[in-house]
Amino acid sequence: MEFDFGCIEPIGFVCSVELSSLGMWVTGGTGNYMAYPIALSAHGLGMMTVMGVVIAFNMRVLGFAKDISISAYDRLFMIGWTGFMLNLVSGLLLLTGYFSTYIFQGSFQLKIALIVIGGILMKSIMGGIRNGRDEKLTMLLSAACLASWTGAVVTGRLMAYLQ
Amino acid sequence: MDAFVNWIGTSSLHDWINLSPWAYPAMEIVHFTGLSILFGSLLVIDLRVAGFANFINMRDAMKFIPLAMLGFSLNLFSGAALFSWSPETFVSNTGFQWKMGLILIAGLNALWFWFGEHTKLVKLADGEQAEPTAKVIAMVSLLLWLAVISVARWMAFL
Repeated sequence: MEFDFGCIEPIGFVCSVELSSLGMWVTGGTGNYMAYPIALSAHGLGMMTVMGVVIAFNMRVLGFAKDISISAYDRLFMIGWTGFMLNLVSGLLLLTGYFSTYIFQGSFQLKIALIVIGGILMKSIMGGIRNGRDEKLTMLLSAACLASWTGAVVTGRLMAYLQ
Repeated sequence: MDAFVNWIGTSSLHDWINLSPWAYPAMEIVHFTGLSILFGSLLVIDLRVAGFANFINMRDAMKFIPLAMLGFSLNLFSGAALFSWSPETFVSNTGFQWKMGLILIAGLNALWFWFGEHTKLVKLADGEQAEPTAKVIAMVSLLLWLAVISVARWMAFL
């Protein structure tokens, strides 16, 4: 049996998420068509904030504006976390609405993997700086971190084009 | 405006973005990356000037200006390429009109910052607060770019 919103039974859990009242609310199935654009806007704002902090921090680790104390960026991370929480909540809402599409999509899976790797690298770089780890290794991790987060943006955009 | 729309709508950029299957997504990726670089740089500059990040030396914060310019340049180039895909569609889109209006105001605000405040700001000592005018310019800058990001997402729905 096929539903209007593209979910094909019997898939069980996947369809039950998408056809839940929250999922239907996101996709406009409840007659409210504002949820999706609002969630997408919030996702964009959150992403730019996270990427902003990631880029500003990693550029400093890689040697840009060297006179700024790296530990000073600790406070900038609070803004990054706010952006990340906004991204997480809006991302979960979008995922709920299009669960059967996104959950099996390679670009989505890669995006999530890159976000996880990027997050681990951010923590590792900051920990390394606090513990006085070798500077070259820290810079290498920083370059990987930038690549990982940029990859997350790229794969996020490609979700609109790839299966 | 019509002449500009006609010109870009018949340019080689228009042909490239319409004929290559990868051109549009590639330009979108450059557009998002450029905006990330621009917004990241503005976070450091504007938060320092506005007084929320006084732990950063003002001269060091100003070193992010060329990076912000790089981000903006990437956005300008990729934005022009995306616009050339279908200029008529964009110019008649309310979200696009708002976005361009906000970017124009942000540009004027940046010029005011550069010509009116920049010289005074780089002379500030470590931890010293900027003047109220500079603080207002910095806050307006951040709010305008947040609005640009938000409005840009609405372009698909308006």
